[in-house]
Amino acid sequence: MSMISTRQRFSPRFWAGLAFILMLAAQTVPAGEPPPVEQQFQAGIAAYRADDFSRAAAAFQASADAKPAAGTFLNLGNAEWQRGRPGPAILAWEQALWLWPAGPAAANNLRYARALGQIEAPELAWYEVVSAWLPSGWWAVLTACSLWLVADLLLLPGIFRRRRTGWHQALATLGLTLLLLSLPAHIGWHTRSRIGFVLEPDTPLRLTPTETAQEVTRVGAGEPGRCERIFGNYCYIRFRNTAGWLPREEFGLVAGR
Amino acid sequence: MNHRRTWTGWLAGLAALAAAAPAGAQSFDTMPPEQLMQLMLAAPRLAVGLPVNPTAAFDPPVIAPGGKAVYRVWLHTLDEAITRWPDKMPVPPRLEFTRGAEGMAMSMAGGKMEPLTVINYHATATQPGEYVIPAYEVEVYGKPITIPEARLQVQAGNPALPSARELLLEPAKTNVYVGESVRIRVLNLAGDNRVVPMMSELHLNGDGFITGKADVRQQITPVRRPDGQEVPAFIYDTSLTPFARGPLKISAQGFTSGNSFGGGQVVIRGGVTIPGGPPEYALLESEPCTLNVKPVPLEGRLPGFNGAIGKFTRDNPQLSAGGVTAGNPVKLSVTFHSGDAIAHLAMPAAPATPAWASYVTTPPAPSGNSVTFTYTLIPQTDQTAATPEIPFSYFDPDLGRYVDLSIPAQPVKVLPGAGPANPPASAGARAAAAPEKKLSLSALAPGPGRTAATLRPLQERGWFYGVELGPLAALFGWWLAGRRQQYLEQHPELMRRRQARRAMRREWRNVRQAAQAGDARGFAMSAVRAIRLACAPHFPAEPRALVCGDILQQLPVAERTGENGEVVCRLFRAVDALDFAGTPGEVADLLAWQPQLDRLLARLEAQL
Repeated sequence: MSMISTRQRFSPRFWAGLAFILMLAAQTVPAGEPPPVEQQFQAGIAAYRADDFSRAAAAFQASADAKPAAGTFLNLGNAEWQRGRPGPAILAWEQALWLWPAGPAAANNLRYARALGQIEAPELAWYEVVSAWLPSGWWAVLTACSLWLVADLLLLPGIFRRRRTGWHQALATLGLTLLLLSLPAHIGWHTRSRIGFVLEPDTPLRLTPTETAQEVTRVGAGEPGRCERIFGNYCYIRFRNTAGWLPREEFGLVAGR
Repeated sequence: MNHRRTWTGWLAGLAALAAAAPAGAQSFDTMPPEQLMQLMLAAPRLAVGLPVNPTAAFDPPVIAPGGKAVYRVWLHTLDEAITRWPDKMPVPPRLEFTRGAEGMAMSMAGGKMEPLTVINYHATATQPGEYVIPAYEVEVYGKPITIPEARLQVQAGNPALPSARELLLEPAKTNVYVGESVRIRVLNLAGDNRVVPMMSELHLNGDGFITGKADVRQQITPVRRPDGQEVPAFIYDTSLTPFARGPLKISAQGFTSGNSFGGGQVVIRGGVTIPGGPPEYALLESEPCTLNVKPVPLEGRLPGFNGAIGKFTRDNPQLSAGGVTAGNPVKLSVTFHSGDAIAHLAMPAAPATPAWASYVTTPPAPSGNSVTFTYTLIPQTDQTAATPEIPFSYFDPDLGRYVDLSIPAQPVKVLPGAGPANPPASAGARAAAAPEKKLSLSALAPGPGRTAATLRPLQERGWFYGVELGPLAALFGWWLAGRRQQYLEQHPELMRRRQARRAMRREWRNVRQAAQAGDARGFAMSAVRAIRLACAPHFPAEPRALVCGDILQQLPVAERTGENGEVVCRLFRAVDALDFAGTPGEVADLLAWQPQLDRLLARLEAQL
């Protein structure tokens, strides 16, 4: 036993095993939800069921501020909608989709609200549509995995002095395809983070970023726009047919502030 | 330079055409590109390269003591072509001289447009006598041009002598609000001979306001002078809208253009004499006047205020139909009237209500003093009996307060239709009566579900790209190192030479240290080791196995018997004597050979 060298004891297999255990530990650690977040969430559900939508919205908002979650945003949107505030409701449902694009409930609620209020959905470019297929982190994982796959298959045979085989090249091509497909999605996530929604009905759109500015027009609650510039407390928002300045508190960005 | 002139010529031609275009002509904005190109090709060219022909004169040349005269310089060139102008004019003593206006006019001659730049100075003197502005030099396009001398006579005892001609500036009011449209008149009064020269290139100087180009009115009509005499006057009437608060200093300037009417229509009333012959092109200017501009008060602002300032009236709104089916549109038209302020009136926004969806068409251009706005309203339910009220208010500068002029609700009969009907007042209640049965509000999520640390996506964070690309860079570096190792394995001589070079340098340092310490024995031993190390890779061989003959083989034949060969031989003899005989022998005087040894080692290092 004493003949076993240090090199043998800490072999690559040992390090790989340790890394795997640490990774599993990281995955199995509780999601970090402190009890108050869960309590606020449950308090929101209780208030909603008691038809106290204002209190429910406040509880869900507090829970979402502490720990953004798709279900919390979905419930927040429902509570705001029941309070008669379509702007914050649409923003909350969009944020639920932002975190979990496959969530059918938020998408259904958005379709419902927009059909009822004759409100337009944001116009998305093709790469933004692609980006909405998966959550942001998934695209990052896909990019990282495909990048590593391509790099490994191209570089490791050379490093370990093995001959490249056909399956090496086939897998590298597959990885490269996935990598190239994922790049537009990252651009889409980047540009979609500028999308936001008007929070209050009949909000005046200003010609200049000043308090006494002339009105360009008025925009309805839930109208989608893109924040192109920020000046002080004002955002320059481009809507489908017009553009102007809005105070930041009157325009909710889907990616938060 | 030629390109610049051609360019300027096009611009000047376009500007002249724009000025000459009638009021109803098509604007450049809506003109198709090919038509614009034809217009550019048809535009007269700018005459450049003509003699500058500078002239200077006082206007009038004779004044009474204390009277005003204008010293005017004419240059037949573009104003931007004047590259040097004296900062201080050669003014005689007792003549007060101040800088006045500067302007450029275009005159047609021989099918080309000739530029004419005029620069004014105001002059006055209280002492009678003759005052001379001597000739002086300026530069036009970098070339010196001499301005001729000019003389001014100041004569006492003749109060009837005329003073300098000037324009009169008359704003309709001097206390105005930001955004308020104010009429302002520029007058050029005729003299006693009732001759009224036409004016061109008239414009207002100052900052913080815009002038109405579309509502300019020009006329020649009798007006009463301050001395009570009625004389004809050329009147340029336009509107001005200040956009900055505080005192606003305004002046006017323009060229006399003889009988040339310039752009736009001119209405002539009464007996007028219009001079014939070529125009004089004198640049006239007015005394500045000041407007006091106040901001619109924030207090008392009414709903629907969208920046309208002035006096407005409204006709009763008109509905296109008295009844409509829910989901079908009905048009609501309303006409507003005002004076000059109508051009700045923005369309009042229709409020969004659950019962009515509203759409606005592009507001039409004002026609005269009125403008009609049309709203397309679509009832969303048959539970409504009137259109929504559209709030509108304006600020009345005369009253100093806001006035409500909202468009009232209009009664309309809404019949049940196929569109979305009966939305209740609250959004929650509306959900129960949603138009499409398939769509409804979802149930609450039982748990928070998928969480994230923040809503900000990974792609918005700088470290994301570092994490993605950092390991790749490390892997690439690893791969490069592997490639390098393989290469060195295939070429072992490279490694041998590198190691030999490193070891030789180390020994060389020892040689220098031994020389400084006066250690002749160490000097010789280290020198021989360094020489052996430098030559070993060429065989290849173990350095210690090399003898003097082997080293000499590495030297060119000519050097073997020269200085380098001698150094090698002496060093090896000395070291052999030390090793095998134990006697210092010639070691003691070897230290003097250090410069030759350095040259030899440098020579051998270069061969590695």
